[in-house]
Amino acid sequence: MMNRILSPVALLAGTGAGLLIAPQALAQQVRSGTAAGVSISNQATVSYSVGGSSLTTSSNTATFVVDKKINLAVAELGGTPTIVARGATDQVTTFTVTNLTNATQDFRLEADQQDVSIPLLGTDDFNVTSVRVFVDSNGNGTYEAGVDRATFIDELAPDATVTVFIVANIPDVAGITQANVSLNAIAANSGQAGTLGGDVVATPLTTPDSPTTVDIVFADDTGLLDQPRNGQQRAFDAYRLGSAVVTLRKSARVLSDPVNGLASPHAIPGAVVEYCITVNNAGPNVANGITVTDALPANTDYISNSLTVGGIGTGDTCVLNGSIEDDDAVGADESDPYGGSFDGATVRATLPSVTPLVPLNVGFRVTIR
Amino acid sequence: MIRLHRCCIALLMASAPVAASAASPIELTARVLVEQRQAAADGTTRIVLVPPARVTPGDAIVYTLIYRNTGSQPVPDLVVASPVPGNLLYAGPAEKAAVPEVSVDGKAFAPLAQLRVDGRPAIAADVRALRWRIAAPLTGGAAGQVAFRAIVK
Repeated sequence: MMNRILSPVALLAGTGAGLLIAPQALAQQVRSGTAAGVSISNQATVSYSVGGSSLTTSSNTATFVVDKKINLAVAELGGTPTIVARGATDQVTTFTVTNLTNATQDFRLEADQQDVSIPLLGTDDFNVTSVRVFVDSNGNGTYEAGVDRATFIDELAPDATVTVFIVANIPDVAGITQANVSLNAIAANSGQAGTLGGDVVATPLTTPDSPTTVDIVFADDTGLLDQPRNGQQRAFDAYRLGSAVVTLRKSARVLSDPVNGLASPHAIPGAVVEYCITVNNAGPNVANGITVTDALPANTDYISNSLTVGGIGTGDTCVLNGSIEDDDAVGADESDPYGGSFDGATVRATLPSVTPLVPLNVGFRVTIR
Repeated sequence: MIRLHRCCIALLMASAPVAASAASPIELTARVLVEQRQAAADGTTRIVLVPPARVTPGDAIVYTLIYRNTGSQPVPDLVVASPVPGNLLYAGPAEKAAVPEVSVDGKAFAPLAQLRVDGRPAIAADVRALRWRIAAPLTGGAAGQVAFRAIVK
């Protein structure tokens, strides 16, 4: 009889010690919770006295089975868009997927392009190409082509987290600024290592309840473009073009020569040659404070006051001249938006800003010795 | 003969809770139910107790312990005790139920506020066992119940 009373106590002494030693283990356990399929039993006792002697009676054992609570968390890693360049390949955005189910699960992964702009992330104005999704197989947090090849999460233990990469190519198109992408993880059935199970289906509410079988209950939260309790979670990230990509292009054309004049001039000694440097900004942002320097070519003489800066350039020629600059670096012509100077060896030009897709020119002339 | 015997045992097991002693006049039945939120017709949410068919971590379990005096004599000094099962967190007495004395080690029982664990005041999650002392003798044929809530870890 006494053993009956003490048995739960003896059992508790062990668990109590475990709780005291490892409070963190308890906290972790609480996160995804008691494993699905665990049977929880309880037996109470009642003691009383009859005729001065103490007696004890035990109750029946009340038992139920813990069901499977499907839950997961998908999070974007880093908090900032991935900065990319036009035409770049295998550009990576990083996510984590955490299994909050009280059982081991597979997860199917979907990488999606957002066609609608999401205010939180910024305006989406292009789509990346060749979108792929890979699991960080070796757990080092860095995408390695050929190493991280798994396209689904296999047998993820309760409370375990894996890193997932969306890998995509950036089209080489002028004017693009940002592409938003999202990772959608869908809980799938586990049980066969190396194979993605089918999507988990919640036990229908019409299925007769049974206290002894493991039912499946979706418990995942709602999210942006995600329904609550559907066994899926979604997180967003973005590819953003580098703030400004400035390129220079230099061309030369012969304006006149001493023999032919302006008609079909050739590059012979004494000929006047115009150099045109085109400053192009591929965007997406305005480039500020640009200084162009160009050493005068050998065997040429700079023509005084031939420097023009800020003309709108198309192609290889300076069709529209900009503001005319004198050759020193001071004076009124330096305080207009553009500046320029020649110090005897190097041509310098300053452009306060270059807006995307509006190239500006720096032009000057030389004579061939 | 044998068949009859079997029949009786089966009957006993089905109907009567495990009887520790043939002479025991006290019978204790444990019942487990799970709290379920249901939308009421007036738009509010009410919590009902249903059989524990669909239980997942975070759900609240209500254990009800029903004691009954099957004899004819009053029984004094009734003490009902129950452990808190390993995967559950004690969450207080059930609605309208008597407040139990609790224990964090299964030995010393006291109100929760008087217990300490590792030098800190004990919290409900530390509770491993419960005890109700029924003050009045239980008269013959009478019954009563105690109940507590617990959360599935």
